[in-house]
Amino acid sequence: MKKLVLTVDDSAAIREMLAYVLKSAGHRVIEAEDGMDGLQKALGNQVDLVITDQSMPKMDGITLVKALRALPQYQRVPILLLTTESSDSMKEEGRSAGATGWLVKPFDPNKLIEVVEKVTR
Amino acid sequence: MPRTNRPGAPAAVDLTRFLPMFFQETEDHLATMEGYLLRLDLRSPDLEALNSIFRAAHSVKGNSTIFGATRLADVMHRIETILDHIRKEELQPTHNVISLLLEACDTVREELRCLKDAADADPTALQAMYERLTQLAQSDAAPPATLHEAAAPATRRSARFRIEVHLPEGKDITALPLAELYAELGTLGRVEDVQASGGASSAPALSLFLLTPERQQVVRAKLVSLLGTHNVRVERQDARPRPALPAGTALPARATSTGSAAYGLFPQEHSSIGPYDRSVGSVTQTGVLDSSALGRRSMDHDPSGSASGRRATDRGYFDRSSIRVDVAKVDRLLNLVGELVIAQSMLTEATQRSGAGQDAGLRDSVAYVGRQTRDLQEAVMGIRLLPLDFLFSRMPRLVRDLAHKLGKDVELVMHGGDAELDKELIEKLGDPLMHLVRNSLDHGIELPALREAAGKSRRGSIQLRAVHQGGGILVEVEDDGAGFDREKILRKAEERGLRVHPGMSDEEVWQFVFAPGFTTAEEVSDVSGRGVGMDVVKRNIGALSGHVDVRSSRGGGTTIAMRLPLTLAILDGMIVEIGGESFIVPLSFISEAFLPQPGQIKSITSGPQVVQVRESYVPLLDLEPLLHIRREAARPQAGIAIVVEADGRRAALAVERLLGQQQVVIKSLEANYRRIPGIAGATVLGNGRVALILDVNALMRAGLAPMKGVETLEALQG
Repeated sequence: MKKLVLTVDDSAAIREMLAYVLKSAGHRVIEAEDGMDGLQKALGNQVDLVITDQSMPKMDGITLVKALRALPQYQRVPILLLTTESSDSMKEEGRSAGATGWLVKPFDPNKLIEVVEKVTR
Repeated sequence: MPRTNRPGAPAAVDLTRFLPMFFQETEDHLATMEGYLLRLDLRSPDLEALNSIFRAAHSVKGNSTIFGATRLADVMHRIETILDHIRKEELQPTHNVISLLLEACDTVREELRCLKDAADADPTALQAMYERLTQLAQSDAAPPATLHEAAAPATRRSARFRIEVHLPEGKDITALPLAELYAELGTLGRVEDVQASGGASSAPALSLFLLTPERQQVVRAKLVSLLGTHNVRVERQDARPRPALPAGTALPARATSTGSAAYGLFPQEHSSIGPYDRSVGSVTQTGVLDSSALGRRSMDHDPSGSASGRRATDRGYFDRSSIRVDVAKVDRLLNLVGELVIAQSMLTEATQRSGAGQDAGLRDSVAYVGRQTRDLQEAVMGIRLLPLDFLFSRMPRLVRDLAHKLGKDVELVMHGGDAELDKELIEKLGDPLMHLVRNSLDHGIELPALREAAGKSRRGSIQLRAVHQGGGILVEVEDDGAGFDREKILRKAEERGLRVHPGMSDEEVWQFVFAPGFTTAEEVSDVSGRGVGMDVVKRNIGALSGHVDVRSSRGGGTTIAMRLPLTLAILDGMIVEIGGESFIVPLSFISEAFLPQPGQIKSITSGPQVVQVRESYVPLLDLEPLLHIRREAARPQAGIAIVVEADGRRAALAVERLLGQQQVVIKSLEANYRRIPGIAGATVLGNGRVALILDVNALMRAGLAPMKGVETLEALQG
C-alpha cells in the first residue's frame, strides 16, 4: 500500500533524502520545514505517516507530536521521530509525547523503508 | 552516503549525491551560529538567540555523523554543552567564551573543508579545540551576581507566555479553529509544550507556551479575536525563565549514539498517547478544520511573512526553488551569449549596409532579434549576480576581533547588502573591502578615551554601504574617526620626494595615501600601517574598471567610496577614432566631450598641453604616442576632446572622431593574447573588426606621469 508521508525537518538536505528514499519505495511525500509548517500541512492533508526531526525553529518535533495527538484525526496516525542519538531521555520524551517510534539519523534507506512499512501496516 | 549505503541497499538508492547539500547546509549553520554569537548581548543574552545557536550547533553535530566525522560531532557536542550552561545561567558568556566558540566554528569549518576536498586535516587542531572546549564545559564558572542586574538592553527580548484555551461545557477541542490558531501563533513566535486535556471541564482544553518578542496585550488581542474573550488566558511567565530545554534538544547522557538499533517503536498503549475517546474522531466533519479555510488563511497570512529574511539566511541558498550549477557552465553560457550579441550587431550592420533594411519585415525582425538578444544577455548575466552580503557578512567578525585586539569600541553598521553584482567582482572586492575596514579600525577610529576627550561618543562607528548608482554600484566604507591629517600627509609626501605645494586641494592631498608604500603611521602595527594597502586597493579597484574616491575631514572621519560596474562582461562604451583606428572609451569615465577652439589649448613648459574646460584647465593627453600609434603625416590634428575623470583627477583625451555609443562585450586580452599597457580589453564591433578598450586609469597615470619624469606606460606598469 502506498502511503502519504509528511516529512518535517528544517534541513532541506534531509528532506530531499527522505523524499528520495520514500518515493523510490512508491510513497507520496509532503515536506514541511519546521513543526509549525508540519502542523499546518497535517491539518490541510490527512497523511498516513509523519516523520519529524526534533530540533527545529518555530516548533520542535516533540511539540509537533503533542499538537498532532491533540487532534482527533491524528490520534492514531503513526509518528516517527528522527534523532541523532538514541538515548533513554530522548526515548522517554518521545514516548510520553505520543510518538510511535524513533529513527536514528543518518538512516539506512532499507531500515527507513522497513520501519515505514511496519508502522503503516 | 558512506555509512548508510551498506551492501544490500537497492542499487538505485545512492545517497552520496546528497552530500554536497549537507556540506552547504552545515556551512550555513556555522554562519548562523557565528552571526548569533556576534550579536549576543553578553550582559543579558536573549534566550531565543541562544536557542537558535543551539539548534544550529545541533544540526552541525547531526550532519557530522552523516559525514561519518565522529570527532567533529564530539567537538559540536562540547559546544552544545557550553551553550547549555550559558542557557541555564551556569556560565557567563564572557568575551573570552564567545571568542572560543567563534574559534571553534573556524576549526570546524576548516575540518569540513578538508572533508569536502578529501584533504588531510590537521588532527591536532580538532583535538586541541576539543580539549579547550571540554575544559570550559567542565569549569564551574559561577555566574557573577551582577549578571541580571545589568541595564536592560534597548532591543525587546523574547518573553514566555503560558496560553490556556478553555471551552464551554460540552464542546471539545475540535470546536476550535485550530489551523488558524496555529497559523497565528506561528506569526508570533515559537510554540512549546502543547497539551490538550480531554473532557475534564476544569482543565484547559489546550495549553501551550509561546516564546515571542511581542507584548502580552498583542498576543492576547490576536488570540481573543480568534477565540473570543472568555476562552483565552495569557499569562506571562517570570521575566527570566529557566525553562526545561526545548524538547528535542535535550542533551543525551552519552555523547553520540552507541550504534544500537537504527530505529525503535514504543509500546503502543493508546491510553498513554491521546486524551481522546476515539469516538470523537467523526467530529472532524464539522468543517472547523476545513482545508480550504486553511488554504485561505495561509495565503493571506503567510507564516513566513516577517521572518522570511531571516529564514532565507538561515537556510542559505537551499530553497527548494533553486538549483546549484557549476560556475563553469554559467560562464560558458555567458560566453555564448556574448558571441550571440556580437553576431547580432553584425547582422544589424550588414542589413543596413546591404540596403536590405528597406524591407520593413526584415528590419522589424532584425530589431526583434536584437531586443531578444539583449534580454537574454541580461538574464544570463543575472545568474552570476550575488548579493554583497556575501562580503558584508565577513565583516562583523573581523571588526569584533580587531576592535578587541586594538582596545577600541566600535559599532559596525551595514546597509544595502542585498545589492547584487557579478560573482567575479564580489570575489575581487573582498580583499580591498577588508583592507579598508581594517584601516578604518586601526587608523580611523580613535581609542575610547581619546574620543571622549574630543567630545565624541566612546563608541566609534564604521558604516558599510552599498547602493546602485547609474548602472554601477557604489560601495562606501565610512568611519567617524580622526580623519586624515592634511599637514602630516603633506609632510610625509614631501619626505618621500613626491611633488607637493601648499595650494593643493584636499582631494589632491588625499590622493597621496594611494601612493605605493605611503603611510603616516608612526609605528607599524601588525594590523595595518605597513604602507602596503591603499595603493593595492586602488590598483585592484582600477583593474575592475572602478574608481576610488576619498572624503575626509579632520576629526570628522573618513569615507572611502568605490564605484564599480555591475559586471565585467559588458560595458557601455563610446567608440572613438584615434590615428584611424577604433577604440572604446568606457562611458563611466566620460564626463563630457567638446570641440576645442584653437585658443582653448595652451602649452605649458613641463608636461602635456592643457585645454580650457569652462573655468579650469585640464591636461590634454595625446594618445597617439601613449598607444604607440604611428601618426600619418597627412592626417589632420585631433579634433575632439573627451573629458574623463578618474581617481579625483580630470584629463581630456584627444581623439579624431566620435563614432557612436554602444554596449560592448568585453574580451580579455590577457586570456587571448597578452597584457597591453593602457588597454583594458578588446571587443568585436558590428562591422566585424576588433576594437581595443582603453584603460583610462592607466592612460591617465602615464599621460600625467611626465611631470614626475616617468616617460612610458611600461615603466609605470612595473
